[in-house]
Amino acid sequence: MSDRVPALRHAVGYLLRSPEGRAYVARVPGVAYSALSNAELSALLNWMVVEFSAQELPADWVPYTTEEVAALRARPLTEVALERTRVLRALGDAAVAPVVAPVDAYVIRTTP
Amino acid sequence: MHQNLKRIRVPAILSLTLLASVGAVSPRNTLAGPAAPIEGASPVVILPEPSPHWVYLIDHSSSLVVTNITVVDGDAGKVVGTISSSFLPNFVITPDAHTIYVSETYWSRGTRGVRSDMITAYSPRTLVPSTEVELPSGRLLANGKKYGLSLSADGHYLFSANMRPGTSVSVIDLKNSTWVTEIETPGCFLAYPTGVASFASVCGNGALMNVSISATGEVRKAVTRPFFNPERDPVFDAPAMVSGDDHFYFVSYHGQVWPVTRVDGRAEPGPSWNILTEEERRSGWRPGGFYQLLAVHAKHKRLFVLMHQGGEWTHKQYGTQVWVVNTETGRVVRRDSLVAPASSIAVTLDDDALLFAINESTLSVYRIVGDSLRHVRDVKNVGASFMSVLGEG
Repeated sequence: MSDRVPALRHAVGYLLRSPEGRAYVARVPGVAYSALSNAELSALLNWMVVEFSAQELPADWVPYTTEEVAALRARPLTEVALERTRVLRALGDAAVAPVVAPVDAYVIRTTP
Repeated sequence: MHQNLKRIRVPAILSLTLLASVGAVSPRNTLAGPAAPIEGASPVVILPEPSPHWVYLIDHSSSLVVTNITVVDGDAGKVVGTISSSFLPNFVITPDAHTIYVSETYWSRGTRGVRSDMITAYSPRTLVPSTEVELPSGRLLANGKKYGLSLSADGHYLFSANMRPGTSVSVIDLKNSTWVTEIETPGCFLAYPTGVASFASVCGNGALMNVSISATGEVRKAVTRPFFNPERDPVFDAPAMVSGDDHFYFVSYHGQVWPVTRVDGRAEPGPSWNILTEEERRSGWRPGGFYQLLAVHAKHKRLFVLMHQGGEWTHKQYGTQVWVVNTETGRVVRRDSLVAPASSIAVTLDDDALLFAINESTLSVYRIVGDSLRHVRDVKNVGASFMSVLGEG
């Protein structure tokens, strides 16, 4: 786990270049656990990605729908660092990938 | 006594050996006969076995940088000892009273320099530190987050909460005195002990995340259904729980009691009820306190809740009364006024139970007779946040 908050500006739009990244943004707990309604949350996400990261959005980007956000937030992530790494690796840009704990860090050593 | 406790006891035979090893400098010290006392050294007072009527308080009245854990004998009304700890420590006592584990943070130059975080084991008999385990992921530095540190039911693991700023829990293997891993608890916070190798965290959507470690070391996570509404009626993050009891209790700002059952290493929220009548609600009664406003006596099936009269957002106001709730019927069986408003309470787990209520710096001790509180004494100058008695967790 890193000791920082991932940036939104010139970053969040990049995640939306894959379906997995698009899902990640709505499933990350700060979003999924929000007190906003599904309609409010999708409106906020749509505003946010354009406001902070329009340049990085894919050319064929379409706004989140209320139903889509409802379905995604119903499956909140329990392994955020892992999923973020997967998404960024799949997008193929190592330079953007944050330093996170390796996958095996989540497996506890058994005691002798 | 405070000073004496901090000194390490040097038995006579050991001091003789130490002197013998520097015999070339001072050969006369190796002569037979009683060893001359070392100047400045004094024996540590060995405390008796901890009593169920002792209470351990996080006492930050003097300084946050050097926070004490003060031990008070509720029967004698006296401070029996002090652990001089670090910046905003947290602690747990093993149910068998064998060890006090304290999570600590020091900087190499007091208030600056290189930070180090650790779990330190203290003996309850001497209040002297022994083993240290370094915490490479640091730890949550927050005042009064009691369940930022907890012990697994078998005493194998210690769970220490982090917020950096993503939430996670460090796992410390106490049998091998090693830090094991850090488990991410996204959107969920703190570590309530739920079983042999498991804990639960409370989540921002009103659910619990259950985390368990299998015998082969695999970490499993599952999120319960949301049970409380964080917008309309949030719960206080410090539930009342005692070791070995299958149930623990959250209470909400508006007096809703949410029992949680610990089953097979999971925390499962159960059906809730409210402790306020319509009239009490209208006259502004609500739970409140600064750190730990709940306590439970499992054997007597009683939940104790600090209550006060106030409007919305007065949940941190000190409690003027303690309401006693029968956890089987859900009914409030007693409402007793305190001699002074309290920020935290604790209840001992024995049959002849005591209730401790802490004000700014005065600890009031009450006997619980039937279901009513009888004030027996005050202990002054023990400014505290939360308290623990033996058998919590």
